Amino acid sequence: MRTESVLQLLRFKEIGAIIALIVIFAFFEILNSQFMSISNLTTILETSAELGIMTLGVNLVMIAGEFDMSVASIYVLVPVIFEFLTLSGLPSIVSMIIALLFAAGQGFINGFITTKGHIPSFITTLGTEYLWLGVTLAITGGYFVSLTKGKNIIDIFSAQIGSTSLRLSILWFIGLTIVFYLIIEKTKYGNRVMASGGNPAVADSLGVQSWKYKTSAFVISGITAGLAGFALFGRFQSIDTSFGTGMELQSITASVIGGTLMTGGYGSAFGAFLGAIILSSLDNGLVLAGAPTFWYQAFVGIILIAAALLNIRLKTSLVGG
Amino acid sequence: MSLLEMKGIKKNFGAVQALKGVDFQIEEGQVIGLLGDNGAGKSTLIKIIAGYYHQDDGVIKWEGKEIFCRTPAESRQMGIEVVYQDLALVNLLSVWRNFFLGREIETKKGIFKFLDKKKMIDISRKALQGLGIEIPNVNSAVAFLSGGQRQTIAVGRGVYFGAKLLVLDEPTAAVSLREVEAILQLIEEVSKRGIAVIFVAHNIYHVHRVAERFVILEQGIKVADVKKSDGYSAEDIMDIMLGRKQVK
Ligand SMILES: Nc1ncnc2c1ncn2[C@@H]1O[C@H](COP(=O)(O)OP(=O)(O)OP(=O)(O)O)[C@@H](O)[C@H]1O
Ligand SMILES: [Mg+2]
Repeated sequence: MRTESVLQLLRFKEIGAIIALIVIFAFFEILNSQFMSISNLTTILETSAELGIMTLGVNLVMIAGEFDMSVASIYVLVPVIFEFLTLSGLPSIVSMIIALLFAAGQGFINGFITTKGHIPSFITTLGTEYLWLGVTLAITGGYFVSLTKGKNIIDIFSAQIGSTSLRLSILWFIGLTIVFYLIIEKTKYGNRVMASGGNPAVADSLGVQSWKYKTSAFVISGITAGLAGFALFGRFQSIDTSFGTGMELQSITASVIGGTLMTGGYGSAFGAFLGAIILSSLDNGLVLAGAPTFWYQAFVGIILIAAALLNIRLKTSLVGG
Repeated sequence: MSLLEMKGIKKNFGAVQALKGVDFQIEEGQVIGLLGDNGAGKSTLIKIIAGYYHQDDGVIKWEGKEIFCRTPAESRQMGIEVVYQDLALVNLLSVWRNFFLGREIETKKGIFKFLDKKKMIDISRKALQGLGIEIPNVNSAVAFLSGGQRQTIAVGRGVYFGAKLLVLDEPTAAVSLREVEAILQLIEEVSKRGIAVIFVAHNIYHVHRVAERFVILEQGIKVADVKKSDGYSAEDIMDIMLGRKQVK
């Protein structure tokens, strides 16, 4: 009986995230009554956008049954490539397209090596994460890279909306969440990504070539990491590798909080959306409560483990073992 | 003309000779029980039929025409539907998503194409009901269903998509008694529709009830190929398998 009701809840993929959001909001509101003010809520939304856009892609890779650890360096490298291309005299739109093609291409490499080489994607992408981090450091010499000629086009990701303190990146985040929701739940492609993550052998036996769907998820994840990088570049007007630190784990955490299974085949874009908002609320709430910022790191680690523990229990009652 | 005809099929895995020159044929609508001890080569034979493995030697004819290397997907397109016990369905997906996996129906909305969920739910429900398969809710994840129900869904899917030959690898193993009954009834129903069935099982009584012919493999060799109409009882078949009795 008890498992039966747990199963009922699981049909609603985002349930854990909604409960977590309520708990966190209640907790920080008690600590500091400023937390739920309009201005603070907009701050939370704004800071969630970059992590959130990245998380949508990472979440898709997880639904496809893989991990993408390389997003943290792609997040920085894509804007860096963009900046260097504009400096070399290329039109900014062309520079942006080339930078995004690079993001897509490295995603393809991640997927291809993982699926054709039969190695865990955790390893593949950890390797490429370090590779691109090294490349970024080599290109930038470890210094900040500032946004110069490409400012106009970067504005489409990060300009302020009217006189509000909100940036366009939040609209990208919301819009892309809806797009990812539709892709995952309503399209043939999404159906096959879920199948490829849930049980690639079955997918293959039904003529769904799981490697293609897994690989395409890496391509998409590369692109969203790049878009998130542009939003970041626009917000700070300069960038260095430290901005990416820990982002891969944060986006995995956000996905898992959102109900996505580490083992693939199950997950939700709205869950990922809520997961990103939960992490930025946590960050924000800790700052408001006067806690030193490093506590945030500790909390992310704890939450990742807690959410994963919860998910694995739910999954065990869902599919057994 | 047989639906499927295999001659001199050999398959080695390294030093293991899994099949040592097996002849096998099946007619339209026929139900064959494929029997043999562990490691006899039953699954290997089935996987060759499925196009999952390719034979090292021997000829395969489908509807009278020789066929060569094909993928599992191509075999399926030809009408060969293989239901592996744990390789049939994706547990986390709903029944209708599994039913249409790889053959999704889409509907156009402007320039976009979306899944036609309503239609697929409707078709899968009706197709399963038509075969007497009771699934309370085609919207629930396959993981919520019993092993027997999962098998019947995979069979129903094959029938709906026009299978001419259905291959079931141990469908009644690890399934409750009541569900065994449902699966046997389903096999009878399917064969009534003119679909041939190869039914692999260890339990001779399950096979004996629904099959009209029995093929027994032993260490990669076909040791018997007999018809029930020639008076072979379940005990006779068992005796042949145990080496206590020769083929009449
Ligand atoms: N992929 C493989 N690699 C190596 N050897 C294999 C492989 N598949 C099957 N074999 C060997 O081939 C022989 C026949 O195996 P097969 O699985 O066809 O038997 P089976 O009749 O299906 O047995 P069971 O009743 O246990 O399912 C066995 O000796 C098995 O170990
Ligand atoms: Mg077997």
